[in-house]
Amino acid sequence: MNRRQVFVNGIIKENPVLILLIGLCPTLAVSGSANDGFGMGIAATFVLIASNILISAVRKWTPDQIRIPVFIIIISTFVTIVDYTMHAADPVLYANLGVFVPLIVVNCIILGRAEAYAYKNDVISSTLDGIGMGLGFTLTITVLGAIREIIGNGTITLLNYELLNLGEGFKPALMFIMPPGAFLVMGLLIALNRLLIRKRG
Amino acid sequence: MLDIIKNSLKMGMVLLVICAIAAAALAQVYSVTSVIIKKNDEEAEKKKRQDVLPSAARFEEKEIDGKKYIMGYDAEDKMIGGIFKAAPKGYSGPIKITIGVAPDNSVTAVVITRLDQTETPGLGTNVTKPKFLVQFKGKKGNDLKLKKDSGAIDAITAATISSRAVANGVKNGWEQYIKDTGEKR
Repeated sequence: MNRRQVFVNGIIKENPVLILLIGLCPTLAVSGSANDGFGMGIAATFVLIASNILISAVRKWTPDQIRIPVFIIIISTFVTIVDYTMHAADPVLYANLGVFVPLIVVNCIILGRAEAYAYKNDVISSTLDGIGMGLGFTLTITVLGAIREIIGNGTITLLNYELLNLGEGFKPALMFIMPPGAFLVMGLLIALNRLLIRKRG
Repeated sequence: MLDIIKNSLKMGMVLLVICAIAAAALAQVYSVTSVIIKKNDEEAEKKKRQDVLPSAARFEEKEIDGKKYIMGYDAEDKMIGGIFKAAPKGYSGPIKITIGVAPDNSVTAVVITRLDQTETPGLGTNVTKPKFLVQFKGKKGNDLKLKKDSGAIDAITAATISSRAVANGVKNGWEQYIKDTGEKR
Protein backbone atom coordinates (compact mmCIF):
# COMPACT_ATOMS: atom_id res chain seq x y z
CA MET A 1 0.00 0.00 0.00
CA ASN A 2 1.57 3.31 -0.99
CA ARG A 3 1.52 6.31 1.31
CA ARG A 4 -1.01 8.37 -0.61
CA GLN A 5 -3.42 5.49 -0.32
CA VAL A 6 -2.85 5.23 3.44
CA PHE A 7 -3.84 8.86 3.73
CA VAL A 8 -6.93 8.72 1.46
CA ASN A 9 -8.19 5.43 2.91
CA GLY A 10 -9.25 7.03 6.17
CA ILE A 11 -11.67 9.33 4.43
CA ILE A 12 -13.88 7.01 2.35
CA LYS A 13 -12.77 3.41 1.95
CA GLU A 14 -11.76 2.82 5.56
CA ASN A 15 -13.62 5.70 7.17
CA PRO A 16 -13.32 4.96 10.90
CA VAL A 17 -16.93 5.76 11.67
CA LEU A 18 -18.79 4.67 8.53
CA ILE A 19 -16.83 1.51 7.62
CA LEU A 20 -14.81 0.40 10.65
CA LEU A 21 -17.67 1.45 12.94
CA ILE A 22 -15.38 2.59 15.74
CA GLY A 23 -15.57 5.84 17.68
CA LEU A 24 -19.34 5.68 17.64
CA CYS A 25 -19.84 7.04 21.18
CA PRO A 26 -18.44 10.53 20.51
CA THR A 27 -19.86 10.50 16.99
CA LEU A 28 -23.40 9.94 18.22
CA ALA A 29 -23.12 12.01 21.38
CA VAL A 30 -21.37 15.17 20.16
CA SER A 31 -22.96 15.65 16.73
CA GLY A 32 -25.94 17.78 17.78
CA SER A 33 -24.57 20.68 15.74
CA ALA A 34 -21.97 21.10 13.01
CA ASN A 35 -19.96 23.32 15.34
CA ASP A 36 -19.67 20.77 18.14
CA GLY A 37 -18.95 17.97 15.69
CA PHE A 38 -16.14 19.95 14.10
CA GLY A 39 -14.64 20.83 17.48
CA MET A 40 -14.65 17.22 18.61
CA GLY A 41 -13.20 16.12 15.28
CA ILE A 42 -10.28 18.54 15.35
CA ALA A 43 -9.44 17.87 19.00
CA ALA A 44 -9.49 14.09 18.43
CA THR A 45 -7.42 14.42 15.24
CA PHE A 46 -4.62 16.21 17.12
CA VAL A 47 -4.44 13.47 19.73
CA LEU A 48 -4.73 10.73 17.11
CA ILE A 49 -1.81 12.02 15.04
CA ALA A 50 0.40 12.54 18.09
CA SER A 51 -0.38 9.19 19.68
CA ASN A 52 0.17 7.40 16.35
CA ILE A 53 3.60 9.01 16.03
CA LEU A 54 4.63 8.17 19.60
CA ILE A 55 3.33 4.62 19.57
CA SER A 56 4.96 3.92 16.23
CA ALA A 57 8.22 5.33 17.58
CA VAL A 58 8.29 3.11 20.67
CA ARG A 59 6.87 -0.01 18.99
CA LYS A 60 10.23 -1.81 18.77
CA TRP A 61 10.89 -1.59 22.53
CA THR A 62 7.39 -2.48 23.63
CA PRO A 63 6.87 -6.16 24.55
CA ASP A 64 3.73 -7.58 22.94
CA GLN A 65 2.07 -8.59 26.21
CA ILE A 66 2.01 -5.10 27.69
CA ARG A 67 1.31 -3.09 24.54
CA ILE A 68 -2.24 -2.12 25.58
CA PRO A 69 -1.24 -0.54 28.93
CA VAL A 70 1.55 1.28 27.10
CA PHE A 71 -0.92 2.61 24.50
CA ILE A 72 -3.30 3.77 27.22
CA ILE A 73 -0.55 5.57 29.15
CA ILE A 74 0.66 7.36 26.02
CA ILE A 75 -2.85 8.33 24.91
CA SER A 76 -4.08 9.57 28.28
CA THR A 77 -0.85 11.46 28.96
CA PHE A 78 -1.20 13.15 25.62
CA VAL A 79 -4.87 14.02 26.14
CA THR A 80 -4.05 15.60 29.49
CA ILE A 81 -1.20 17.59 27.98
CA VAL A 82 -3.48 18.84 25.21
CA ASP A 83 -6.08 19.75 27.84
CA TYR A 84 -3.64 21.79 29.99
CA THR A 85 -1.88 23.43 27.06
CA MET A 86 -5.07 24.46 25.33
CA HIS A 87 -6.52 25.80 28.59
CA ALA A 88 -3.44 27.93 29.16
CA ALA A 89 -2.64 29.00 25.62
CA ASP A 90 -6.05 29.92 24.26
CA PRO A 91 -8.98 30.29 26.68
CA VAL A 92 -11.36 31.14 23.83
CA LEU A 93 -10.55 27.95 21.92
CA TYR A 94 -10.66 26.02 25.19
CA ALA A 95 -14.08 27.44 25.98
CA ASN A 96 -15.31 25.90 22.74
CA LEU A 97 -13.30 22.66 22.60
CA GLY A 98 -12.58 22.15 26.29
CA VAL A 99 -15.63 20.03 27.00
CA PHE A 100 -14.60 17.55 24.30
CA VAL A 101 -11.00 17.01 25.34
CA PRO A 102 -11.66 14.63 28.28
CA LEU A 103 -14.02 12.68 26.01
CA ILE A 104 -11.15 11.92 23.61
CA VAL A 105 -9.74 9.39 26.08
CA VAL A 106 -12.75 7.16 25.46
CA ASN A 107 -12.59 7.60 21.69
CA CYS A 108 -11.77 4.09 20.52
CA ILE A 109 -10.53 5.31 17.13
CA ILE A 110 -7.31 6.36 18.84
CA LEU A 111 -6.70 3.03 20.61
CA GLY A 112 -7.99 1.22 17.52
CA ARG A 113 -5.47 2.87 15.19
CA ALA A 114 -2.67 2.39 17.72
CA GLU A 115 -3.35 -1.35 17.79
CA ALA A 116 -4.25 -1.88 14.14
CA TYR A 117 -1.81 0.43 12.45
CA ALA A 118 0.77 2.45 14.40
CA TYR A 119 2.08 -0.59 16.31
CA LYS A 120 2.95 -2.35 13.04
CA ASN A 121 4.09 0.50 10.77
CA ASP A 122 6.80 3.12 10.56
CA VAL A 123 6.46 6.65 11.88
CA ILE A 124 5.75 8.41 8.58
CA SER A 125 3.01 5.97 7.49
CA SER A 126 1.51 6.16 10.99
CA THR A 127 1.44 9.95 10.82
CA LEU A 128 -0.35 9.81 7.47
CA ASP A 129 -2.75 7.22 8.83
CA GLY A 130 -3.47 9.52 11.77
CA ILE A 131 -4.12 12.51 9.52
CA GLY A 132 -6.32 10.51 7.14
CA MET A 133 -8.33 8.82 9.89
CA GLY A 134 -8.62 12.12 11.74
CA LEU A 135 -9.91 13.88 8.65
CA GLY A 136 -12.37 11.06 7.97
CA PHE A 137 -13.65 11.28 11.53
CA THR A 138 -13.88 15.08 11.49
CA LEU A 139 -15.63 15.11 8.13
CA THR A 140 -18.16 12.47 9.16
CA ILE A 141 -19.02 13.97 12.54
CA THR A 142 -19.30 17.48 11.05
CA VAL A 143 -21.59 16.36 8.22
CA LEU A 144 -23.66 14.35 10.69
CA GLY A 145 -23.85 17.40 12.95
CA ALA A 146 -24.82 19.69 10.06
CA ILE A 147 -27.65 17.40 8.91
CA ARG A 148 -29.00 16.97 12.45
CA GLU A 149 -28.72 20.67 13.17
CA ILE A 150 -30.45 21.87 10.00
CA ILE A 151 -33.40 19.50 10.49
CA GLY A 152 -33.52 19.68 14.27
CA ASN A 153 -32.77 23.34 14.85
CA GLY A 154 -33.04 25.10 11.47
CA THR A 155 -29.46 26.37 11.52
CA ILE A 156 -25.93 25.39 10.58
CA THR A 157 -23.14 26.84 12.73
CA LEU A 158 -19.43 26.35 12.18
CA LEU A 159 -16.67 27.90 14.30
CA ASN A 160 -19.48 29.74 16.08
CA TYR A 161 -20.60 31.54 12.92
CA GLU A 162 -24.11 30.93 11.76
CA LEU A 163 -23.75 29.82 8.14
CA LEU A 164 -27.41 29.15 7.49
CA ASN A 165 -30.64 29.95 9.26
CA LEU A 166 -34.00 28.77 7.99
CA GLY A 167 -35.68 31.49 10.02
CA GLU A 168 -38.61 31.61 12.40
CA GLY A 169 -41.08 30.09 9.94
CA PHE A 170 -39.27 26.74 9.93
CA LYS A 171 -40.65 24.23 12.41
CA PRO A 172 -37.65 22.12 13.41
CA ALA A 173 -38.01 18.39 14.04
CA LEU A 174 -36.46 18.38 17.51
CA MET A 175 -35.99 14.63 17.46
CA PHE A 176 -32.99 15.07 15.16
CA ILE A 177 -30.84 16.82 17.75
CA MET A 178 -31.87 14.22 20.33
CA PRO A 179 -30.24 10.74 20.47
CA PRO A 180 -32.70 8.97 18.10
CA GLY A 181 -31.88 11.48 15.36
CA ALA A 182 -28.20 10.61 15.70
CA PHE A 183 -28.88 6.92 15.02
CA LEU A 184 -31.17 7.63 12.07
CA VAL A 185 -28.84 10.05 10.28
CA MET A 186 -25.86 7.85 11.07
CA GLY A 187 -27.54 4.84 9.44
CA LEU A 188 -28.33 6.86 6.33
CA LEU A 189 -24.74 8.14 6.11
CA ILE A 190 -23.39 4.58 6.35
CA ALA A 191 -25.72 3.50 3.54
CA LEU A 192 -24.69 6.48 1.42
CA ASN A 193 -20.99 5.76 1.91
CA ARG A 194 -21.45 2.08 0.96
CA LEU A 195 -23.33 3.19 -2.17
CA LEU A 196 -20.50 5.55 -3.12
CA ILE A 197 -17.91 2.78 -2.73
CA ARG A 198 -19.97 0.27 -4.77
CA LYS A 199 -20.53 2.80 -7.59
CA ARG A 200 -16.78 3.37 -7.82
CA GLY A 201 -16.14 -0.35 -7.92
CA MET B 1 11.19 -20.71 34.78
CA LEU B 2 14.10 -18.32 34.57
CA ASP B 3 12.72 -17.07 31.29
CA ILE B 4 9.38 -16.13 32.83
CA ILE B 5 11.07 -14.15 35.58
CA LYS B 6 13.33 -12.44 33.10
CA ASN B 7 10.39 -11.59 30.87
CA SER B 8 8.28 -10.22 33.73
CA LEU B 9 11.17 -8.11 34.91
CA LYS B 10 11.68 -6.74 31.42
CA MET B 11 7.99 -5.88 31.03
CA GLY B 12 7.92 -4.26 34.45
CA MET B 13 10.96 -2.19 33.57
CA VAL B 14 9.49 -1.03 30.26
CA LEU B 15 6.23 -0.02 31.93
CA LEU B 16 8.11 1.70 34.73
CA VAL B 17 10.21 3.72 32.29
CA ILE B 18 7.18 4.73 30.22
CA CYS B 19 5.15 5.70 33.30
CA ALA B 20 8.06 7.68 34.70
CA ILE B 21 8.48 9.59 31.45
CA ALA B 22 4.71 10.22 31.26
CA ALA B 23 4.60 11.42 34.88
CA ALA B 24 7.58 13.71 34.37
CA ALA B 25 6.07 15.16 31.20
CA LEU B 26 2.73 15.75 32.93
CA ALA B 27 4.32 17.34 35.98
CA GLN B 28 6.37 19.64 33.77
CA VAL B 29 3.38 20.68 31.63
CA TYR B 30 1.21 21.14 34.72
CA SER B 31 3.68 23.35 36.55
CA VAL B 32 4.03 25.59 33.51
CA THR B 33 0.37 25.79 32.53
CA SER B 34 -1.29 25.94 35.97
CA VAL B 35 0.18 29.41 36.55
CA ILE B 36 -1.18 30.69 33.24
CA ILE B 37 -4.52 28.96 33.78
CA LYS B 38 -4.88 30.62 37.19
CA LYS B 39 -4.12 34.01 35.69
CA ASN B 40 -6.63 33.42 32.88
CA ASP B 41 -9.28 32.39 35.39
CA GLU B 42 -8.74 35.53 37.42
CA GLU B 43 -9.07 37.63 34.29
CA ALA B 44 -12.23 35.78 33.28
CA GLU B 45 -13.62 36.40 36.76
CA LYS B 46 -12.88 40.13 36.45
CA LYS B 47 -14.54 40.24 33.06
CA LYS B 48 -17.64 38.50 34.43
CA ARG B 49 -17.94 41.10 37.21
CA GLN B 50 -17.58 43.85 34.65
CA ASP B 51 -20.21 42.18 32.44
CA VAL B 52 -22.91 41.94 35.12
CA LEU B 53 -22.32 45.44 36.53
CA PRO B 54 -20.96 47.41 33.56
CA SER B 55 -21.03 50.83 35.22
CA ALA B 56 -19.02 49.81 38.28
CA ALA B 57 -15.59 51.37 38.67
CA ARG B 58 -14.39 49.18 41.51
CA PHE B 59 -15.49 46.07 43.36
CA GLU B 60 -15.29 45.10 46.98
CA GLU B 61 -15.70 41.62 48.37
CA LYS B 62 -17.94 41.32 51.37
CA GLU B 63 -18.87 38.44 53.60
CA ILE B 64 -22.36 38.39 55.07
CA ASP B 65 -23.30 35.43 57.27
CA GLY B 66 -20.52 33.36 55.75
CA LYS B 67 -21.69 34.01 52.19
CA LYS B 68 -19.49 35.86 49.74
CA TYR B 69 -20.91 38.85 47.90
CA ILE B 70 -19.20 41.37 45.69
CA MET B 71 -20.36 44.96 45.88
CA GLY B 72 -19.87 47.31 42.94
CA TYR B 73 -19.23 51.04 43.32
CA ASP B 74 -19.14 53.74 40.63
CA ALA B 75 -16.56 56.51 40.21
CA GLU B 76 -18.22 58.63 42.94
CA ASP B 77 -18.07 55.64 45.33
CA LYS B 78 -21.82 55.19 45.25
CA MET B 79 -23.02 51.60 45.65
CA ILE B 80 -24.55 50.64 42.33
CA GLY B 81 -25.23 46.98 42.88
CA GLY B 82 -24.09 43.65 44.17
CA ILE B 83 -22.93 40.42 42.58
CA PHE B 84 -23.60 36.93 43.85
CA LYS B 85 -22.77 33.47 42.61
CA ALA B 86 -24.91 30.39 42.37
CA ALA B 87 -24.04 26.86 41.32
CA PRO B 88 -27.26 24.86 40.95
CA LYS B 89 -27.13 21.27 39.77
CA GLY B 90 -27.83 21.09 36.03
CA TYR B 91 -28.37 18.08 33.81
CA SER B 92 -24.80 16.85 34.11
CA GLY B 93 -23.09 18.81 36.86
CA PRO B 94 -23.13 22.19 38.53
CA ILE B 95 -23.78 25.31 36.45
CA LYS B 96 -21.78 28.24 37.81
CA ILE B 97 -23.77 31.43 37.47
CA THR B 98 -22.71 35.03 38.10
CA ILE B 99 -25.62 37.37 38.80
CA GLY B 100 -25.68 41.16 39.23
CA VAL B 101 -28.39 42.92 41.23
CA ALA B 102 -29.23 46.64 41.03
CA PRO B 103 -30.01 48.76 44.14
CA ASP B 104 -33.74 48.45 43.33
CA ASN B 105 -33.30 44.67 43.73
CA SER B 106 -33.90 43.84 40.05
CA VAL B 107 -31.41 41.60 38.26
CA THR B 108 -28.99 43.60 36.06
CA ALA B 109 -27.48 40.68 34.19
CA VAL B 110 -26.77 36.98 34.39
CA VAL B 111 -23.56 35.53 32.99
CA ILE B 112 -22.66 31.89 32.35
CA THR B 113 -19.63 31.17 30.18
CA ARG B 114 -19.08 27.91 28.36
CA LEU B 115 -16.47 26.93 30.90
CA ASP B 116 -18.94 27.38 33.76
CA GLN B 117 -21.02 24.37 32.83
CA THR B 118 -20.85 20.82 31.50
CA GLU B 119 -24.32 20.50 29.97
CA THR B 120 -25.07 18.49 26.82
CA PRO B 121 -23.40 20.14 23.82
CA GLY B 122 -25.99 21.56 21.45
CA LEU B 123 -28.86 21.37 23.94
CA GLY B 124 -28.12 22.31 27.55
CA THR B 125 -25.11 24.44 26.58
CA ASN B 126 -27.60 26.88 25.08
CA VAL B 127 -28.09 28.29 28.60
CA THR B 128 -24.84 30.18 27.97
CA LYS B 129 -26.38 32.02 24.99
CA PRO B 130 -27.30 35.72 25.44
CA LYS B 131 -30.73 34.99 23.94
CA PHE B 132 -31.62 32.96 27.02
CA LEU B 133 -29.72 34.96 29.65
CA VAL B 134 -30.96 38.40 28.55
CA GLN B 135 -34.43 37.38 29.73
CA PHE B 136 -33.37 37.76 33.37
CA LYS B 137 -32.51 41.43 32.94
CA GLY B 138 -34.68 43.78 35.00
CA LYS B 139 -36.71 40.97 36.58
CA LYS B 140 -37.18 40.11 40.24
CA GLY B 141 -39.05 37.74 42.52
CA ASN B 142 -41.25 35.08 41.01
CA ASP B 143 -40.64 36.40 37.48
CA LEU B 144 -37.23 34.74 37.71
CA LYS B 145 -38.83 31.32 37.31
CA LEU B 146 -39.63 29.50 34.06
CA LYS B 147 -42.94 30.16 32.36
CA LYS B 148 -43.77 26.49 32.97
CA ASP B 149 -43.31 27.20 36.69
CA SER B 150 -45.50 30.35 36.49
CA GLY B 151 -42.54 32.70 36.07
CA ALA B 152 -41.56 34.85 33.08
CA ILE B 153 -38.52 33.06 31.60
CA ASP B 154 -38.82 31.06 28.37
CA ALA B 155 -37.06 27.71 28.71
CA ILE B 156 -34.76 26.49 25.93
CA THR B 157 -36.52 23.94 23.76
CA ALA B 158 -35.42 20.40 24.65
CA ALA B 159 -33.31 21.67 27.55
CA THR B 160 -35.88 22.24 30.26
CA ILE B 161 -33.76 20.67 33.00
CA SER B 162 -30.81 22.97 32.33
CA SER B 163 -33.06 26.02 31.90
CA ARG B 164 -34.95 25.26 35.11
CA ALA B 165 -31.70 24.71 37.02
CA VAL B 166 -30.47 28.15 35.93
CA ALA B 167 -33.78 29.92 36.64
CA ASN B 168 -34.20 28.34 40.08
CA GLY B 169 -30.54 28.91 40.89
CA VAL B 170 -30.90 32.60 40.06
CA LYS B 171 -34.16 32.92 42.00
CA ASN B 172 -32.96 31.12 45.15
CA GLY B 173 -29.68 33.02 45.14
CA TRP B 174 -31.56 36.25 44.61
CA GLU B 175 -33.83 35.62 47.60
CA GLN B 176 -30.82 34.82 49.78
CA TYR B 177 -29.07 37.96 48.53
CA ILE B 178 -32.06 40.18 49.33
CA LYS B 179 -32.35 38.61 52.78
CA ASP B 180 -28.64 38.93 53.56
CA THR B 181 -28.08 42.43 52.24
CA GLY B 182 -31.48 43.91 53.00
CA GLU B 183 -30.98 44.41 56.73
CA LYS B 184 -27.60 46.00 56.36
CA ARG B 185 -28.72 48.78 54.05
